[in-house]
Amino acid sequence: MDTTVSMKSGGKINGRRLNEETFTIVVQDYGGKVHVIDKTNVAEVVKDRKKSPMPSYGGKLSASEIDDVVSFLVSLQEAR
Amino acid sequence: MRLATAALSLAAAVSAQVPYERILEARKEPHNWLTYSGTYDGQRYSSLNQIHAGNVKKLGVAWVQQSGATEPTQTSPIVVDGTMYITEPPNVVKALDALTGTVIWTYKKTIPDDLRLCCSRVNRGVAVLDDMVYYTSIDAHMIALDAKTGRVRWDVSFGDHKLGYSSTNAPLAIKGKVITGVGGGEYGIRGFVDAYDAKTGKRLWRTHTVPARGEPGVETWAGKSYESGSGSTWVTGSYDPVNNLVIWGVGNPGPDWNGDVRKGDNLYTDSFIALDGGTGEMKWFYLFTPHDTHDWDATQVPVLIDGTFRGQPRKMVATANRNAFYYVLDRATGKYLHAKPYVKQTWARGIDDNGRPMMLPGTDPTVEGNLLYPSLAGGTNWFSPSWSPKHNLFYVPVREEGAYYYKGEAEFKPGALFNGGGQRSNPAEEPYGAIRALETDSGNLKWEFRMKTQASAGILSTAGDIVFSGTGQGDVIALHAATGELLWKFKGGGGVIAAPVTYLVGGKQYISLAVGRALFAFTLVE
Repeated sequence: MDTTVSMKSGGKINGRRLNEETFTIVVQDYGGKVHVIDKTNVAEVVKDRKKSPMPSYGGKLSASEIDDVVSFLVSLQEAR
Repeated sequence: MRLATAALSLAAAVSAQVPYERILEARKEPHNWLTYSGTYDGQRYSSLNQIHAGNVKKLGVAWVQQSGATEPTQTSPIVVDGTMYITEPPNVVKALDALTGTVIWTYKKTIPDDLRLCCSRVNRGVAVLDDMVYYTSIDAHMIALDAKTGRVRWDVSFGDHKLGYSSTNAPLAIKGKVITGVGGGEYGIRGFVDAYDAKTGKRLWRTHTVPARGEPGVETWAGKSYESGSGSTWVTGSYDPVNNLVIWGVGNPGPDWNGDVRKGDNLYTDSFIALDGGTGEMKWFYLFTPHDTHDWDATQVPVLIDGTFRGQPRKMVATANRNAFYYVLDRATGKYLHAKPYVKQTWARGIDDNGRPMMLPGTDPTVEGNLLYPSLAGGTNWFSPSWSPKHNLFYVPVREEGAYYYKGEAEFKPGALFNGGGQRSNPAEEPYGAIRALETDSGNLKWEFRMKTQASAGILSTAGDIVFSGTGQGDVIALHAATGELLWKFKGGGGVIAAPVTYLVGGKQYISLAVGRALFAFTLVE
């Protein structure tokens, strides 16, 4: 889950929540670094279930290219 | 010096005698923990105050007792003059030196392989009376052990495990009798509360929680549905010695989630029943959830309170029920006095003046799934609450979550699972837990301490202004009893699914609580 932790000291950590407990939250930022954070140092935690770290492909493919991808995927199903 | 103290403690163990009168007056010897909830009233409150809000930060581990089992330890220890009696899953009773954790004796019950269990081979502790320790095993036996040696004095079966009868509760010892409930609410058993002669094991009375043909209450079951009506009694009740009432919680009707086959209120499931201690005769009952289709057992520890209700002295029973409402009842009659939700609920408009819930339409489980609050695990569950006479607050471990309830097939076959559906969690929300302090007569929230996951541990409150409990992720916590402020925490490394107790030995107060598969004892560290 995409998570942004705002620290009382002013910094922010944005990344993927690896674990959360009553007193701690563990976040791996999108650079790969793992942060074990004591919640007493946290001002706010914002979680976005719908946000994916995967880059959007919206607009990268034309309508006919999407048709080609879908056709290819369907052909895999038929082959099986 | 420490060795000498330990030797004295062990010497005391072999001479321990606990007549009924000592349990009756347990409040006068707070250095011991003589019955499941500490005292018959179910308050799980101690007047010990050597550990208090000002010094609890110095709490440290005195000893640890590992179980070696795969199931979690849920025991609530009994402590008698320096000896602690505990159970460990799946079939073990131990006597320990309460000062050092040294094992004095071990009893291991042979149990069958073909148990029918909804919820694993757990156990929540023993009872003591005179020179015996009483244990109910997972295969529904009541066993009396010699307190000095652990040798079996008598062993009686109170249910056929092949039909789903089981036991996980700590028995309740009163004058001359030892009382137990029974598990099996997901197997269509016929529930009961039993009393046995403490010396001989002879059954003295049995009170069923589901009526038979021709008995009062059977009209609340359509057809012959009472024959598989469940009504298990799997959590230790409380005792009112003044009225000689054993007050016990009753579990769900069977099948759990498909009510089509058992139209009616389904007495006395999801009720508190008050039984004459001498005869087992039912003196009153209070039905929390008529025709329950959500598995909301009323198997919470009844908390008996001599307090004030709306400005007048009153003898009450208070409980936070699994159905999300906090209730206050009159103790002598079971009369409804007050109710208020203590967690989110979406099944009732409220409770009417007669104490009956005003149910909302469309709340039954469906084939497709029906989202409702609370989940089947309830707003709380079997985890012991606590009541502090010092602060006049009712402390309850809570679970804030809803669930999609499903209805399924419900054909009764003896010894087979009979639940008629189930639940799935709501992926759109992140459930959480809390310790909440409620005002006794109103149920108004005084404070809460939020936890990341749903509560699963019981609560102990003390005269040292502390509330002890645990989290599902392995933290033991101490909160200020008046404010909920976190005073101390300890990472125990396993979910806490047990209730804390306190005692004093060798001049020092201890807090004992099972964490994961180990029992911890904490004391002040200099």
